[in-house]
Amino acid sequence: MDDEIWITGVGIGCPMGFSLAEFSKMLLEGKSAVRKVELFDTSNHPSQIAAYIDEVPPSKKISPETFRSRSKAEQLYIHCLGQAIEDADIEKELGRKNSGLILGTGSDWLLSWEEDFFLGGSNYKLPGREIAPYFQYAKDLYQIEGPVLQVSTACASANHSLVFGANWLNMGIVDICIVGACSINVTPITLASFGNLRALSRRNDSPEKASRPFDKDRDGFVLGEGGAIFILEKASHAKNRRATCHAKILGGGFSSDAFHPVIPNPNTLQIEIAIKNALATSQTNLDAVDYINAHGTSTPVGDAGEANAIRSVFSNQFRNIPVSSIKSMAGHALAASSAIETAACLIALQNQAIPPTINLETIDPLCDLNHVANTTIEKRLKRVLSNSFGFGGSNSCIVLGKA
Amino acid sequence: MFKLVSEGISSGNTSYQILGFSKFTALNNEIPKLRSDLNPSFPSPLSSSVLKYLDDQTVIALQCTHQATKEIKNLANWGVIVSPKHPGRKRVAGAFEKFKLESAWGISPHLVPYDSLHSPSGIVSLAYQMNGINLGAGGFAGMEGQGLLAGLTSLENNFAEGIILIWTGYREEFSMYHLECQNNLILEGYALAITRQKIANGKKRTQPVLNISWNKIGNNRSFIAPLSLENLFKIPDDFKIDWSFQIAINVFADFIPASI
Repeated sequence: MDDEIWITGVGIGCPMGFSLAEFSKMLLEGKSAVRKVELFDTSNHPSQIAAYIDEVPPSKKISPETFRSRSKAEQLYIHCLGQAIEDADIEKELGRKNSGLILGTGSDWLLSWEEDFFLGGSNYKLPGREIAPYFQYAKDLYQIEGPVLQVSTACASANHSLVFGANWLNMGIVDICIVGACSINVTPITLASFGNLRALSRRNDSPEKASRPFDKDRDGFVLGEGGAIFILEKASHAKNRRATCHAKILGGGFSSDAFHPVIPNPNTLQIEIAIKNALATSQTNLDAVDYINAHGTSTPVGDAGEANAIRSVFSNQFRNIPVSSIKSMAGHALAASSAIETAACLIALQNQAIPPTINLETIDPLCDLNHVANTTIEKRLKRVLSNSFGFGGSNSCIVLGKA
Repeated sequence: MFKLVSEGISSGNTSYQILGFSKFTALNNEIPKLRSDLNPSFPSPLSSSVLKYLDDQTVIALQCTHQATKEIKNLANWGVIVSPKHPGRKRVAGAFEKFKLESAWGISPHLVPYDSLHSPSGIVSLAYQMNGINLGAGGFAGMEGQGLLAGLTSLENNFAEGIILIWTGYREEFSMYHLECQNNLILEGYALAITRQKIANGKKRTQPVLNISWNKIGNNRSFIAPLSLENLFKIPDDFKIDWSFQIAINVFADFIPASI
């Protein structure tokens, strides 16, 4: 990348907290946010547990009544975007056309129709009742007038938004780029669909133990939700306005498996290519990687594949690089997962501490890595790497640097 | 010649070579036959368990890719970006009806993998064995320009050797009431296969070329309409070397074709 790209603002909202401080506390204490779903009747669901949001805190920007009139997904965007803008102290700059917005998503329209359906509506049946993307209300509220891009690579979506955002800054398209993703996933249809796909853990009697990436007894992922939004600027732009750098985006790499719509390719070559591309674009040597934030969903096939790819890329150095998956605590927030994990990396860099993979009691021999199991460790961190992979065979990897 | 003029971008000139192009329409009731007819043509034929779950717009995206990539020998390092419009509507509507009757037991496990914004590009990358970036962009009516923006960002940053850009959608949105009687619904798809290429001014071109002129704000105001699937279909069919039109990008509003 041509110039350093700084993260100058962060907004987060997830079951582990609605501020970076709250999220950081739970993350570094290794506490699970997974619990039994009580938002709707789950008696017929194979998986009845999730890490979910009860209520999004109201925004100072609009009245409580107006805030409550919006859907939970819109509220989450208002919260995360507002917090990031306030953190970066950049609201006065957004009215100009130099600010872009790139957000990861799954399929807003499906969730919107589902919400409407459970309220007794029939928007899904009729033309002319189309809805706007969930970010639209927050975008208008904060008068972001620059270019907009909504991208989807399923569970890797937010990583793509982060790297595209850095690229837009380097290409000169914008001076400020707002990136990330918010995703409300714990709904009857989504929980049922993933449950019937046999992708979700069925440890309904011990929710906090259910998400156990890389553990021998893992039985699927736990649905999560939430979001994180980041303000990106070139270092020169940020310095001019005396902004603070949380962390730097150093590079990113992508690839596609071209193997199966759902199942990861047991030949992990394409994951390895995504990681190698991220290392190359960030000019990071193998021995300069201080921590790997794994995709680590807790599925039998996915975790073993990722571990294999890491061992292959880093060869005999893999034992020197600590690895953990925060999905053990936060669940899998799908399109927003890599946004939340970027926030976790940022916390790791700021605190010089690596959050653990909790519930890692017996490491699966197929997942042999240098795991940070169950307890946070302190370590000098300058460069960290974060993997995310998605349905459709999308592989992504980003490299973040200490401020 | 394509000419893309971007308003507000200030980093010089880049040319994009168009290696293939296609546009395709089909009636709603022709989709089942297309599914089976297309499959043998894929470099990696899809299994029947995958093929039968494809959304209508994914089938159109596959058809467009087939036509747009005929002259391209190796797609292994290519990527694909699809901008569909509300994919998955039929199956989701069915899912809601089944949920009323059967609760969670009735919900298909294939909803998320096959009916989301990422789904069409993921399937195209699989069928055509493309290992470059694959992603869905936009997803809503009126957001078609985002596909082009994502494609150019990908090419500028070498996320793939070339990109298949595809736009799909129903010509008119349809009512889910009495859908079984609506066999005249028209599905449309438009695709461009583009690569990044530096071309010196005045050099004779042997292929249609997409030029991006990166100008400061205010240099070009001759926009006539937003980039949309409808407007893409206005592009003449005789896609030849000497044929010329212009697409202008206004990244601050949306993509806008001009001088068609």
